[in-house]
Amino acid sequence: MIEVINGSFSYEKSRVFKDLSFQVNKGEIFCIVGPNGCGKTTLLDCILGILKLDEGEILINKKQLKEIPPREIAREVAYVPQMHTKTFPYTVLDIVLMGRASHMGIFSSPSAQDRDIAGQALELVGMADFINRPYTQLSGGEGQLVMIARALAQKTPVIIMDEPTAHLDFKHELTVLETVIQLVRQTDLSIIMATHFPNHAFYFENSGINTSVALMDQMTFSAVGRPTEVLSEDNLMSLYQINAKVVSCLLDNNTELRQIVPLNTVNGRTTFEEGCKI
Amino acid sequence: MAVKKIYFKLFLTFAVFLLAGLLFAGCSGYKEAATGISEKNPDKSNTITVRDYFGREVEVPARAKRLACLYAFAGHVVAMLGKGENIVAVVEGLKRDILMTEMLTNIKDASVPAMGGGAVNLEELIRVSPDVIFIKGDTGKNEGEIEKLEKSKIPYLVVDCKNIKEQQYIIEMIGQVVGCRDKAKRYNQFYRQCIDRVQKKVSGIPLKDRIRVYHSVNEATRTDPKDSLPADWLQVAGAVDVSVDKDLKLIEEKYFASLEQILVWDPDVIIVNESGVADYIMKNKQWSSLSAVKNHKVYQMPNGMSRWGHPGSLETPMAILWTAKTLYPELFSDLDMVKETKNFYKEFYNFDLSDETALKILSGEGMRLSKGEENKK
Amino acid sequence: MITRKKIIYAILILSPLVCIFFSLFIGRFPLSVPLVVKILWSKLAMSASSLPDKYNTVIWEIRMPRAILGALVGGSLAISGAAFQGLFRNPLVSSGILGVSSGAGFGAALAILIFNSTSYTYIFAFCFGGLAVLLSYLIGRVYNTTPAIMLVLGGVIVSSVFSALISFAKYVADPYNQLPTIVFWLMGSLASARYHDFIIGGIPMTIGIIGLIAIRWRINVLSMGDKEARSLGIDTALNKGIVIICATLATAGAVCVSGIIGWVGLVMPHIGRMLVGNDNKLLIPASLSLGACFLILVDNLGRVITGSEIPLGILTALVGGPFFVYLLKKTKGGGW
Repeated sequence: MIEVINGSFSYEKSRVFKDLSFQVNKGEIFCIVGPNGCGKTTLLDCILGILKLDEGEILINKKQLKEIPPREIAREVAYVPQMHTKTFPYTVLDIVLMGRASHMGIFSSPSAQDRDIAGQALELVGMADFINRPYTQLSGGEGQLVMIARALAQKTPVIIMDEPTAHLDFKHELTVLETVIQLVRQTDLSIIMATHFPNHAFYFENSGINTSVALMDQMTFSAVGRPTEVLSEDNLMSLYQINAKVVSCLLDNNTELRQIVPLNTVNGRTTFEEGCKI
Repeated sequence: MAVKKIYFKLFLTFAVFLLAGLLFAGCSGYKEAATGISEKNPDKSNTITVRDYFGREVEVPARAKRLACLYAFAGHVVAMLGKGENIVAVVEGLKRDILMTEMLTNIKDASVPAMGGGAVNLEELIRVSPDVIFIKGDTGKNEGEIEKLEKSKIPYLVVDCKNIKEQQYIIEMIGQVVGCRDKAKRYNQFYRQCIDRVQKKVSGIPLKDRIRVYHSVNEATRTDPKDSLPADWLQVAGAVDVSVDKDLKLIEEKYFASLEQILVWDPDVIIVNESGVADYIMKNKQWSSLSAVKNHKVYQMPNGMSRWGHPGSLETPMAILWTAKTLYPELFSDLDMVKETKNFYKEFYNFDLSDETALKILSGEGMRLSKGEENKK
Repeated sequence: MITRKKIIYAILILSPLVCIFFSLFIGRFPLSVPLVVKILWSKLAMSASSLPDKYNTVIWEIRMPRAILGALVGGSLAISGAAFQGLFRNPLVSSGILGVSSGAGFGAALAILIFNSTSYTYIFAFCFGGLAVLLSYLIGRVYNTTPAIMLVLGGVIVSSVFSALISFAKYVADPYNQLPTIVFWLMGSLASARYHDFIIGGIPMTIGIIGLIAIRWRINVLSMGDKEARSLGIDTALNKGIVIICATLATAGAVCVSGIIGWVGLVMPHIGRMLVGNDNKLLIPASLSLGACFLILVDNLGRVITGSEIPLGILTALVGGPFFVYLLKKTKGGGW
């Protein structure tokens, strides 16, 4: 679906990433994990066509990204933002209809057909009952589901999510993840998702979705592959400088459940005190 | 290091301010040297007492030599009285009056202690130290300005007028202050003669037969309120000023009528004092259904030193003559405006006008006498 | 659902027309209701009228252009206000936010100073209105983006600089000839409205209004912020540009013919929000219609409330100010 080949990007003189290569297949969830400021969002912006690579290329459906006009990129890749600053109390329907912008002319308004598509998208994320509610009154999780519905209304084969569960409480985080899993199962979407929680990758893998995970560090992917292979205790140590345990157990229905349990940071308070003793 | 930097910055800022202050001080010092306060204040014992527009009894030096005219009207009166060279401070407007500056070169260098809106710069006023200050009615009503003037300890006189009588009184009072009472009296006498001349013929006309006039002042829809000099002289000239009995819209000290109101008035004659406005009124469809427009009775007023008949204008007696002749030509067939105009400017401004220039003034196009057309003696 | 929408659109189109019609009956010149109808009818029927010329002048040359121009000006200010609010993602923004009004005022004053006549004031007013907006935009532009707060700040700076320049122009103007003309122009009102003004102000206003109506739904998307709008497939630079140009055209045209009238561009869009919601697809036409009606009504009020006319700006502020306070109080918990 999407293929990045030797991609490099820098802001002015400060290099963000270099020689990145990966590909995302149909029906696959590709998780990008890495510490704050490692360039996840920049990479996503490049795939969205908002920023341009310095070197290398991005292929969407075997087409060069830089040769696709902006409006048509939006028919290939949709975007779910990390945090959405709400301004006017638009209704949920108004918001989801905005996903149809790339399918309309500059001076036209949504048609009845667009409204149907928006309705179906809301149906898919289970928010159909909220259609006429002002979206400013929704909870964080509901708001994020509406954002996913908007991306669905864009009818793209790929959806990019930038930390979609940031700022959500425990339950809503799970709701969003469940919705994503359900969508991939039902619609064969490809999803690229930046996240702070490596456990999300395990969660998808545990649910039987085709999942890849990339560890982003030092301007490049230090490891790419299946969560089970990549999210090892050693890799977590080098990525985050933390001590962690990867635990697994068997559930009743005989599926294996893997999770990372963080223990402590390496150069945290303890090391500092030890240094003092010496 | 950082602290040092801050100190340095502070020092620099301080130095800049100090330098700027010194520079200003230097400039003003230079000015003072140029103008100088060489003249001694006139003898304290030698004073006269006059009553100004507000009825204040003010003691001023007799034959005041240094005059501050903070109202253009006062400047015009002083110039007419032949004491223009005594003007030491003016309002900005007087400096732009081409004729005034040509007649009186000292006005160009006169100080301007009251800028634009009329707020007085007290320090500048004290520096110039006039013997007496003339201010307009609005300034005299402004407590803040009055307080400043009181502080200067320089006597100030409010000069303004709402009708002919007040105008004459003020002219005579200024004459008294500057020591030209005779010429002021002569002017007022001429003024009265003009009025009598016109009144003799028009006072017999019954009110219902008098011609109804709309007087446009600068802008097409700007006109006279009641209790104004134009309202008074129009009445003297035998006209019925249509605008005096209505509430008018007051904007920035000016009075405006609405278009519909003018249509309601439907005046017989329109006189305008700004060149170009007559043309505008004649050509504008909105005005086209007025009888005055249909009958081609829209007239451009003459314009000499000032617009004739403008509030405060010293050519008001001439405006009375002109208006009377314009409204009732058959009654004033003996009145030769060209001759009258030449006489007036000769008598009071010492100009010998050619017939051509007189006609130009009468046509209202000669805005101001331009260079070479007048012969100064 | 669809019929409801049709009814709303019908009301939006009809109400300004009704307001224009009614204002033909109001004014200083005494004309009875049947007489006005007769005057209107005789014109429409093309019959040679036996009515005095003056009656025709009052209706066709004074009241009609004033009402139509009032509608256009009010509509322009309100529609640009609504568009700017969406674009800048800020409900406290109004049509003058980018300094177009003070820019236009200075342009007019400058034209009077330079040419000593009013023939170029409209063009200068118009160009400087545009220039002020451009400057605000450039000031607000950081790192290739234009955050709302920076644009608003840019607008505030540009507005105050141009206001100062207006004062300066007044200061250096010839107090006999130029100053009265400048003041007269700045004060502005619909009092002298005539068909001539339609050519000067009407064309940019109409273009601006049509442009904003055409692009209205996109304003929804733009109000999501640059990044989201782009990811939704919108050329933000182009769309923002069109919205700013159209809103500037409309506002500058309005300022050209009527001087500076405040509050319409701020308050009318909010009334629209209360009536039809925040979807710009409906809000933009609603603001246009509301602004048009409001200005005609306020103008009529100004003409009848007292013998002398009250300037429009005073009345719009008197009505707009308290309403805005009410609005702020009421919507405290309403989202923004």
